[in-house]
Amino acid sequence: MAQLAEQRPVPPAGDGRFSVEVKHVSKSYGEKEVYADLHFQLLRGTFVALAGPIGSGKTTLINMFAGIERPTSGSVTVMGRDLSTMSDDQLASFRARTIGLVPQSQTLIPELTTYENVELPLRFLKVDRDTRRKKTEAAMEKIGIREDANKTVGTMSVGEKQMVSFARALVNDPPILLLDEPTEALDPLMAEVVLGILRGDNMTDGRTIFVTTHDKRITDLARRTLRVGKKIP
Amino acid sequence: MRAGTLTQRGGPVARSLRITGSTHLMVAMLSAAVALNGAAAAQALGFTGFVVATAVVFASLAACSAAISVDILRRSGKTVSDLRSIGATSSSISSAIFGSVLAYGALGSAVGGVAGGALGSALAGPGLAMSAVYGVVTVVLASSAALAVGTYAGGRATWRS
Repeated sequence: MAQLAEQRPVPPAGDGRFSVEVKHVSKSYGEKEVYADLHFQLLRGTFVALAGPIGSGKTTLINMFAGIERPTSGSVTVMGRDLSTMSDDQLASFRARTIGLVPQSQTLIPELTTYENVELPLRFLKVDRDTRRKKTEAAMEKIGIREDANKTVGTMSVGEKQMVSFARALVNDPPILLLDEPTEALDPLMAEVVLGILRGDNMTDGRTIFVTTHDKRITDLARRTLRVGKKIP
Repeated sequence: MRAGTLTQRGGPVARSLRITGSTHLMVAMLSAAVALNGAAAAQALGFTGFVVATAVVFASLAACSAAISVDILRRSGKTVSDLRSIGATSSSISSAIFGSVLAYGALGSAVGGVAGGALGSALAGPGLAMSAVYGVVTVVLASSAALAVGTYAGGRATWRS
């Protein structure tokens, strides 16, 4: 079973309200217990990194924050909404409005172009065409992939796909950004672009950023670092 | 025709679910075939026979569109969960399927119904022109309703499972 420990003290900064509250959460897959009685909060507008070995439950935690996985017991409250009380469709709509997710495994649609992939969350939010175009172009510009707008994602490298995934996570300007090993598949140049965005984004947009990572550059950047104790047997 | 043209049609959500021009063509041709037979047979049958033929058209197309809807959702399981992870609800995904099946199915049944009506009139004689029109309209409406009901039922059953 994984345990979370603070590597640095929780900073006093922030407006005092929590983006994410995890209360007495346990998570098991059959006999395998991943978390037991997990309890912590993320302050709104902070940058928190979660480090730990592969297979220690970092992705499970991100998926529970996003409402993709539900805890076995306990509650996860995101922006004041208890996710356990929401249906799958309510969770999907809530995610579209509230969470930008860059998962470790590719969830882009390979048949679609970069532009179409980045634009998709806005379609699900029923944003009008002009606003969709402006926001999609702005997100691609921010990540530096505007010239790839018409490129089919299925033909791209893993690193390029990760950048598209990043742009898609930012397109709806979410108050919470969840990143699962965001620099792992990137070459050094692309990783620097992501790090630059993370630095600027957290400083200027005041969103909560939660990152799982092995990358020391990201943990150095974070205001708070949590560590998952050990690999789940 | 340029290679790949058939696979380039449809909106992004429909294309994500691999609803291609080939899917549209299959739905349209099946609907046309069923409607053609139903509309043609209706001309040669009495009222009871006409009701039975229309019911057969409805049942066939409802079952067909439900199966297509289930197939699209089941074979795109990963895509569906990927789309849901970025905010797609069951209705936003279902409506992409619904729109494609209904639009192309209605088009196919209209073409098939008119052709079947003309064929039935030719076989039954010119005196039945008005009843041929009623027959075609009824078969086309029944086909479209069947496609809508079948697609909705197939989607609903898959989401529940």
